[in-house]
Amino acid sequence: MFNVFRMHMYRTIKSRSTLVLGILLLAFIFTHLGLAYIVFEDPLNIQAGALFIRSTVATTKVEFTPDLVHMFFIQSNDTFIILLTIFAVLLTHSDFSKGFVKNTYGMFENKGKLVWSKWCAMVACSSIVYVAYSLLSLCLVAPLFKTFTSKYWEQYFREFFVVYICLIAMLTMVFLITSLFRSPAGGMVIGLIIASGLLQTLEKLVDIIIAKISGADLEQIMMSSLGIEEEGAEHFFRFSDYCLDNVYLSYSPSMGSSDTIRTVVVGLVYTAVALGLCILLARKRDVRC
Amino acid sequence: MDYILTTTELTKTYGKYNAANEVSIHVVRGGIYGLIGRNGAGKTTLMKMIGGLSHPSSGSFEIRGRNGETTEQMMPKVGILIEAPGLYPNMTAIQNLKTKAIALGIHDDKFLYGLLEEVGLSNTGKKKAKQFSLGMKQRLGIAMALVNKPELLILDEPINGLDPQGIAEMRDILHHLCNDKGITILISSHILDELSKVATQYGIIHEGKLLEEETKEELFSKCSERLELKTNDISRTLAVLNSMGFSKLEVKDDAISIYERLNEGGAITVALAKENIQTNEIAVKSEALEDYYFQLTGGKDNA
Repeated sequence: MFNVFRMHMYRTIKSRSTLVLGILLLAFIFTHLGLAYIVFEDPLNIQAGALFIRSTVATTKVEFTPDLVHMFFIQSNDTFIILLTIFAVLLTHSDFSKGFVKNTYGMFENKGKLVWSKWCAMVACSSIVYVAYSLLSLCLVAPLFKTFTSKYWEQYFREFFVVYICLIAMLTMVFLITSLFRSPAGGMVIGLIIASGLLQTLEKLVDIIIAKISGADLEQIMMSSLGIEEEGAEHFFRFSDYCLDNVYLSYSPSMGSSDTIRTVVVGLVYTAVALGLCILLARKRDVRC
Repeated sequence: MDYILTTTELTKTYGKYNAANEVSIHVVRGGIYGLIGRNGAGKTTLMKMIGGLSHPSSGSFEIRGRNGETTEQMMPKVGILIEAPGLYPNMTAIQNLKTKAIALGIHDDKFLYGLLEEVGLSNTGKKKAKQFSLGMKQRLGIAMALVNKPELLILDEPINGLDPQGIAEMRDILHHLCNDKGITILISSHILDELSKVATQYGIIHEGKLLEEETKEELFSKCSERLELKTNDISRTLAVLNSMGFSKLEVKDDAISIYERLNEGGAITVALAKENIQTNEIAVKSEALEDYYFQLTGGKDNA
């Protein structure tokens, strides 16, 4: 199946969409540099900075550390999530939409391996984009920004790894939805919903309902939904802790190791389940386009 | 008979609808098998099942190679072109071929350029597939189906939408592939006239069921080919024909149809001339295949 993987890589490299997305990503990295200047270099914009990094209220000028660069340019960058989602959708869907599958895939007995190969190609391409975007943002920020401090590399690598796992999980979900509906619309909508944070709001609402059913008072519920639990306070099951978009968007390198492990496990489980379902679908369903 | 493909009661059901209903076909190696049927008759469904794109609801099929390999081993030796060719529009002809070749582990550019030459697309250069005419796209589709050097080529409606020149080119390609390269072709179409020019074996499919399966000779002998004759005096012409021993005659409007000894047109003309009867037209008419098809499928209203 390595040949099929190579074929997907070949068609992706030759695809015009890849070129367009590459140009867009480059354009957005420079736009984000401008935003970074507003957020991190101008003390008047501390509040705006807090907003951009999805933090609570900031009180002092933020030090621009490598892990914060990563969070600002990738994890909290809605545009990056949307563009990567579109990229994954196009890669997953183009062999269906162009009708290529119907004249090629019939000769492969094991359709599950075809899905596996395509997923590997999607992961490889997304990883290249992820690594390139991370390195480029870091390389541009480091010499240009006075507030940049080259420390906390451990946090940076942890952030890099955890966010990567979650991103791959999200792209695998997009891969599943696109394969399931054989349409690019579903995958793109999911990308937009995640980026907008709408799903996260709904998940928090479910948290509140669960806590309410458990008999908690309103203050405890609100604290719990924000992930803040006082020492000795009753622990509530938080549904959002197991939702991929929420663990991705709320992850921070300052989290404890148990939360980091939970984030990674959630990412891995979503990836495994979505990929497994895709393989099962391919085996059971007819090849159509 | 040496069959490369046989299906046994192959059935595909979507809910309560039988798209293909216990279809059993037998494709002889080295020939061109024409699957005739109107749109929605079940031709594409059958081909998709044979091409490994669709799971049969029941029944089975077997593809046999030269060395006795069966379906699973033969699948890589089957070339498929279902309806549209499935090209990447922003790629050139050679890039499209390469895409499929890479997937199959073929890394021989010379072979790929040879395929383009075979289908008459060697001079397309950097022209993108989206700029190709329909005929060019179909020919590229055939080239793509040939990438894996198939022994069985499945072509679903390859002449659909082509202009007369495109149809003629496609016919030449099919003859070349079958006669010169020994590739067995299973081709479907609803254009009976065109199919009758290439196929050596026929399967007539209607509402998911195979109604008839026969060789070209069997089909044409069943189809009543006739000699159609127009003269200036019908009654005297009939008398002359009777005296010559013709008995299978039919008078329709101002023409006489003769259903026997079709090669005696010259003798008839001479005999009529001797009796001072003017022959206005004499020709072998062959649209009978269509009539035969309508007769099998329940008439023109059904077609």
